Amino acid sequence: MNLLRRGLLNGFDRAEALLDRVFTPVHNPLKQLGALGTLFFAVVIVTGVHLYIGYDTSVSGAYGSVEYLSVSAWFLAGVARSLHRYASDALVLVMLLHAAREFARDRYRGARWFSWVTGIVAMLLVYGSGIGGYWLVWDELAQFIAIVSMEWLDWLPIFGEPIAGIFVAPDALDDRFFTLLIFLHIALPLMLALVLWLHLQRISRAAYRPPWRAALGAMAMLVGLSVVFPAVSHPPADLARLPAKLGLDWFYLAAYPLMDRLPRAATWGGGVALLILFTALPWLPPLRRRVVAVVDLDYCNGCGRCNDDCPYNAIAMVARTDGKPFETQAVVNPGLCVGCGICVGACPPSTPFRTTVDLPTGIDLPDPSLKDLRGQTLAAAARHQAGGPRVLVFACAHGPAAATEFPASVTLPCVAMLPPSFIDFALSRHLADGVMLAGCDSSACYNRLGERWTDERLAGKRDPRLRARVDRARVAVSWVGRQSGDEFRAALSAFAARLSARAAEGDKR
Amino acid sequence: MISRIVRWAAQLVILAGIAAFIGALSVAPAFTYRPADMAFIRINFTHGAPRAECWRPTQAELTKLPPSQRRPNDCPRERPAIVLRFELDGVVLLDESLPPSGLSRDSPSPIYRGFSVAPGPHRLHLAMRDNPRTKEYDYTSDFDVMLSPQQNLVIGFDPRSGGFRIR
Ligand code: HEM
Ligand code: SF4
Ligand code: SF4
Repeated sequence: MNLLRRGLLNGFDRAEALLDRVFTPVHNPLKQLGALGTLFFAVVIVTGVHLYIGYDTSVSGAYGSVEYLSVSAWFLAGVARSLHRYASDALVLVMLLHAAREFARDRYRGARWFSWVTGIVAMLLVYGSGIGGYWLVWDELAQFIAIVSMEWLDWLPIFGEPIAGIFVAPDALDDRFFTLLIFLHIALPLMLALVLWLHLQRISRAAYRPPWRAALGAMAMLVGLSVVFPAVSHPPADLARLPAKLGLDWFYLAAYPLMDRLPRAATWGGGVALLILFTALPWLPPLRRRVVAVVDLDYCNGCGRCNDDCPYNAIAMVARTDGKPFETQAVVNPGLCVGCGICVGACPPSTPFRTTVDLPTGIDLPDPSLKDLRGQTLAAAARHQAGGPRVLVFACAHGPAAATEFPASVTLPCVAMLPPSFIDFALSRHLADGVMLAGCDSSACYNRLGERWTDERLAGKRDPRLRARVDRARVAVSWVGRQSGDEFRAALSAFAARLSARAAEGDKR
Repeated sequence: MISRIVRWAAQLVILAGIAAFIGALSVAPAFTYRPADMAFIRINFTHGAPRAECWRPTQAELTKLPPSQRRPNDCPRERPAIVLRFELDGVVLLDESLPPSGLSRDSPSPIYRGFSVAPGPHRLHLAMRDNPRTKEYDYTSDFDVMLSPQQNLVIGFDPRSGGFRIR
């Protein structure tokens, strides 16, 4: 399992690094897969409504109405049909990549299981909707889908007589069936919309909308494809003949040749086994130790910052229970918490300047705790290499190894766990000449919002802010992925060079 | 840093590549469901063999049974299997006993079976026995057909219209 994941991860890392350079990290399609999925789904819905208006739900009329829409009708209807098809195909493409990427990036276990499992339900609904859509066209491809689907379902001993029978004899099929099909083709996407809403329930500020330039690029691609290569039908279905050569849409129908050629027991068994395996992935080994944030009411003043910053909606503000003169207090839902520590970095009492030994704060992780962070900061400061300016690195565990393995470094589950006061602490206590925050990949934060909150806190736009007295020239940040150790090293040397130049200037003065 | 123009060009190339990938995979590679130079015969119907006669024990027989089983008549729910034979141009392609369906084996026997055959003239011989006590076939039919390539000939069965029929 680990091997498979590592292989996938390396692939994604390489491809993302390449596309970062072409599209910039913010517009990198591989970092926007979920959001592109919602965009494509929206395109499918809008064009689908347009097509529905012209669709004829009868055996004899279905094919003709789709042909009319795409060939004779208004130019836009033809493009709408092509867009409907290609956006559906693009949806499958980004959906599969998105699932593979969340798996590769190890973002499917622990509290994230819910997104994973609802994602699988969404995937089934996408396939159901798409296959139903091809069926509605009632051309030779649809006939093939109908026969193979029904023969496949007939393997289950639930129907008294073979239901495939109605698709092999011309007189057995009636219009009611098409009414049922179009009902399903509308009901399944509606269910999909509901499941996608559920899919995003456990995360806050979900990135369901791509940045507008990425959206524009994706739309331009779909429209271009629709105009250059419009979607067409096969010849009309004819139950007195069996189709021969078919242009399959492999995004939706890849399983159909197997369902037709392999023994039913094998395809049913294999299909069900795969589904169970994928659904159970979050609970399969290698298991991970779970770390969950804990609130200490003695230090919580109910400010709500943790609630605002938590990327996983794991913190609720509830009425005070301990009689302190505050209105609310924070409560962690352990089932939702992924242990990123971002809340620790947000909590006002989280500062290393205090004299208490245990450094208690309003909300803390058991490991590493705020106390551990201060201890590790002091220990790292004792490991500065001789020569050159002394740079202290706070490194995200999901960033490049060059950062986490740097001698004078402290590794955190997310750089946003670091309260900005630690930077002030390191510089004002002369623990370092400069502080570098080394996060994970830009626009691909493992804990979703860590990059955003860190940048805003340092820029003084979000509480807790980095104090104004801190010399910004002695602070640097780096957002590069696991594979980009060289870029991290380059940024570190450049930072060190700037610090040296300043020191030399200071000496001259 | 790559220059702006190179980046734009690269974006265009990548988007066009993805579009080409989507467009291509949405219709190709082609898949051949059934060879275009063959015809097909499909036997598809359900037929329930009549249930066996009820057993009506005499008074003497009844008294021999344990009291809990003394019923004036015993009508089986189960249907017998049907026997179906299909010959194409004198070659036997099917000669099988088809069991009834349903958990208590009381529903008709379904058959859904396909045969790939060369196009052209063919003689079909069909025979079915739905009564386990007879040795004779209860229904037989012969059809002379001319099959064209890709034709899908369906053999059905309807006892009310006299037995086998082709569509
Ligand atoms: C119709 C298809 C889908 C759409 C439109 C979609 C969309 C999204 C979006 C917008 C997010 C939020 C990203 C963020 O803000 O960080 C997300 C997260 C997620 N998706 Fe999907 N998704 C789809 C299918 C799937 C599938 C098939 C899977 C896996 C089986 C999956 C697994 C996940 C996981 C695990 C997360 C959570 C990531 C995290 O917790 O950090 N999704 N999805
Ligand atoms: S560690 Fe804190 S911020 Fe992170 S998920 Fe848990 S409660 Fe939310
Ligand atoms: S940030 Fe700290 S003080 Fe504020 S509500 Fe959360 S736990 Fe309480």
